[in-house]
Amino acid sequence: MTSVTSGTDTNGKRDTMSGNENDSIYRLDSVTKVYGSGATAVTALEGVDLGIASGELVAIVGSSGSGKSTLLQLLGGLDRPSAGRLALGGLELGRAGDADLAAIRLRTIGFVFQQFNLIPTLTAGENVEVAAAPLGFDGATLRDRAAAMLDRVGLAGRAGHLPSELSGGEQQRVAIARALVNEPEVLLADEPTGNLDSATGEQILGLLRELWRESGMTIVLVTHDPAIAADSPRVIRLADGRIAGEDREPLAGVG
Amino acid sequence: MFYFRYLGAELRRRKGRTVLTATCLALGVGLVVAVTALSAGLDEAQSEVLEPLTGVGTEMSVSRPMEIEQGGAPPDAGGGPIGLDDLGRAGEKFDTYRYVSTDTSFPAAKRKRVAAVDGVDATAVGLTLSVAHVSGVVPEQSASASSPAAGAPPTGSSASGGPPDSINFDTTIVSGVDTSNPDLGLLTASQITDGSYIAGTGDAVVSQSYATQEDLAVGDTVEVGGKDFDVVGISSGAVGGQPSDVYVELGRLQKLADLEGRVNSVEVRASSAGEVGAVSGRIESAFPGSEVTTSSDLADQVSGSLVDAKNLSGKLGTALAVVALIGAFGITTLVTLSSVAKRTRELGTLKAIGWRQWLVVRQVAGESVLQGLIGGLLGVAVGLAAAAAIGAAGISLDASLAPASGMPSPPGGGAPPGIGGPPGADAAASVASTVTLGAPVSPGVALTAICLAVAGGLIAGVFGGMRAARLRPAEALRSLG
Repeated sequence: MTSVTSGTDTNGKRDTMSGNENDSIYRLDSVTKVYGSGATAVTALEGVDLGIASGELVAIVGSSGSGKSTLLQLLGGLDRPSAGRLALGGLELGRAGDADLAAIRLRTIGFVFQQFNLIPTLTAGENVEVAAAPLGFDGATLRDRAAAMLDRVGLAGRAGHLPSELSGGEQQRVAIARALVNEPEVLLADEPTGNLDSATGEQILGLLRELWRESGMTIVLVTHDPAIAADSPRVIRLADGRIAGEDREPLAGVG
Repeated sequence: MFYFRYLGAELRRRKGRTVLTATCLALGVGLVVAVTALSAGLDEAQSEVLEPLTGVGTEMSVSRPMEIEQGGAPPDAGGGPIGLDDLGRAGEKFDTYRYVSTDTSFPAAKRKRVAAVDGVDATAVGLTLSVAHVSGVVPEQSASASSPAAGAPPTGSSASGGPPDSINFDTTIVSGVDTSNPDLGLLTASQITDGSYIAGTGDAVVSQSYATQEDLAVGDTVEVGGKDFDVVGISSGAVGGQPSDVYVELGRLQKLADLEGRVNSVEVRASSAGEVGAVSGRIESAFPGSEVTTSSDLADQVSGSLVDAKNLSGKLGTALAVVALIGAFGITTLVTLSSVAKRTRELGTLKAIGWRQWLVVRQVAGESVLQGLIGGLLGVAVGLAAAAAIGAAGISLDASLAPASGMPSPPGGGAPPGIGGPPGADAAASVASTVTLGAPVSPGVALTAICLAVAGGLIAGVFGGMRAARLRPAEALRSLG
C-alpha cells in the first residue's frame, strides 16, 4: 500500500494553512486552475492556499460555480492545477504522471459521487470488487473483501443485487463500500447526499462520520447543504474560486 | 477472474448491443462463408468436369499443330486432298478410308526429348486421327472441278455424273493408345466405365457417347479403317477427356493409317502439380514447333452455366461478401463508439477509482472481441445453413469443353479436304456435361470466418478503446456544477 501520510494525530492549532506541515496530508500553495485559454479562459480556482491535516473531516461549501468541484478534482488527482503547488503527502500531484496519479487514486484515495456512479451491469458485490481488482487479488479474496465491506456499510446479503434493484441510499452505501475497500487514507465525497431524500441523506452522513471516527482517515466532502456543513468540524467556504472563509470546531473530529 | 465476469456481465446485461453487433458480424461473416463455399463447390464442379483428363495425372498434352495457310491444304493432312480422279472413272463404285489430322505427326522416339525435360515425371505417346470413310459412285465432273481446294465442297451443279448423295461419308475420331502404361495417355484404365481396358491389338474401347450413338455394347464389333475390332470396354464420355469415338492399340492404328512409328501427341505428367507452367514452357523450348495444352488451358475452355456461375460467384459474390464484411465492421465500430460515449461516466469512474488506462482500453476492446467471437460462431452457423441450402437445392450446371489442341477439327467446317461437308462432322468438337452444385464448408473456412469476425470486433475495440483512453477521469464528476 502506498502511504502518503506521516500519522493521524491532529494538531490543536490550525488555520487555513495548517500550522504543522508534518500533520498535513494536503498542502495547497497558490493553486490556480484555469479552463480554456485566451478570451474563453475560465478561472475556476485562483490562488488557493490550504492545508488539510491527516484525519480531518472537512466540508467544502459554496454555491454552484464557486470552484468546489474543481478543488475536489484537484485533491483527487483527477486533474492538475494550472499554477501553484498541490502536494498529497510528499507527492507533488501537479507533476505526477498519469500512472502515478492512477496508483494514488487506487490505493490512497476513495471517491464517493453524487450520482453514485455504480456500474449498472455489475452486482453490488462486483461494484465493490471493481475497485480492488487492479490490486491483483484472487477471486475468493476479492469476494471476501467486498462482502466484508458491504457488511460494514450495512448491506450484508445484498451483494448479488444489481444497482437497479437497490434504493438510492443502498446504492450510495455500495459506493461508499467501493471507496473504502482498498482502505484509503483519504475519502473524497462529492455531494454524497445530493441525490437522496433528507432522511436517507442523514443516514449516509451518519455512516460517513462513523467510518471517519473508526478509521481515522481524512474525509473531504463537498456540499452546498448548510446543514451538512454545520455538522462538520471544519468548513471551508469557497466563492468565485477563492477561499472566502473558514469555520472550525477546535479539537473536534478524530476521537 | 473478475475481468472475465465483468466482460460477461456487460455482454449479458447489454443484450441489445450484443445482439446487434453479433448479428451484423454474423451476417457479414455468414455471407463470406456462403460465398467461399459456393466458390469451392464451383471449383469442385469444374474439377469434376475436367477430371477425366486431370484426374489421371495427365497435366499436359504435347502436340505439333500444323501451320495452315488461308484457303490452302494442310501439308500433312493425312494423304492430302481427295481428288475425284483418284477414286476411279465416273460411274465406278469406290470405298476408301482417309486418315486426317491437323497435328503434324512425328516419330514416336521424340518422346525421349520430352521425357528428358526437367520436371517431367512420365510420358505416353498417342495418335489421334479422324478416319473418314468415303464410299459411293464416282460422279462425272468438269475439268475445273477435278481438283477442288481443300475444304471447299464441290457444288451439286459441278458434279453431273450423279447426285451428291451418291457419295457416303462418315467420320470417326480414333485414338491409338500406348497401352504399356494404363495410368497415363489418351485412354487410362480409370476411364473405363464398363468392360475392360485394351488388352490386344484386336480390342477397341468406345466412348459412352459413341456407343450410344452407334448402339454399341461390350462384345459388339466396331469397324475402323475397314477392319473389325472387338468392343471390350466403354469409356466415360465426360467433358474434358480426349473426345475420341474409338480407342485402339497404337501400333494397330499406325499400321492402318500407314504411319508406322509416328505419333501426334505426347501425354505428360509433371513431377509436381505446381511446376506445370514451368515444365510446359521448357517442353515447348526443347521440342520446337510443339504446343503444350495444360489442364488450366482446359479450364479456360470450359463454357456454359458453370462458367457463368463461377464468374458471378467470383466477381459479384466476392464483392458482396467484401461489402457486407466492411458494413458489418463499420456498424460494429459505430455501435462500440456509441457505447463508449454512453458509458462516459462508467469509464470515467473506473479511471477515477484507479483503473489504469490500459485496463479500461482492454475492457472495451475485450467486450468487442468477445462480441466478434459470438458473431463469428453465429456467422459460421449462418454460412453452414446457407451452404446446406445450396446443396439441398440440387442446382444443376452445364458445362461444355472445346476440344483440346491435337484433336482433329480441320478448318472449313470440319470436313476432310476435297469432300463435301458431311453431316455430323462437328459432333466430336465439344462434349457437354452436367454437374450438380454443392457448397462444401471446410474447417479452415469456418476458422477463417471466426477469425474475421474477431478481427472485426478487434477493429471496433481498438477504435472504442482509443476513445475510452481519451476520456479524462474527471468526466466521472462532470455532472456537478
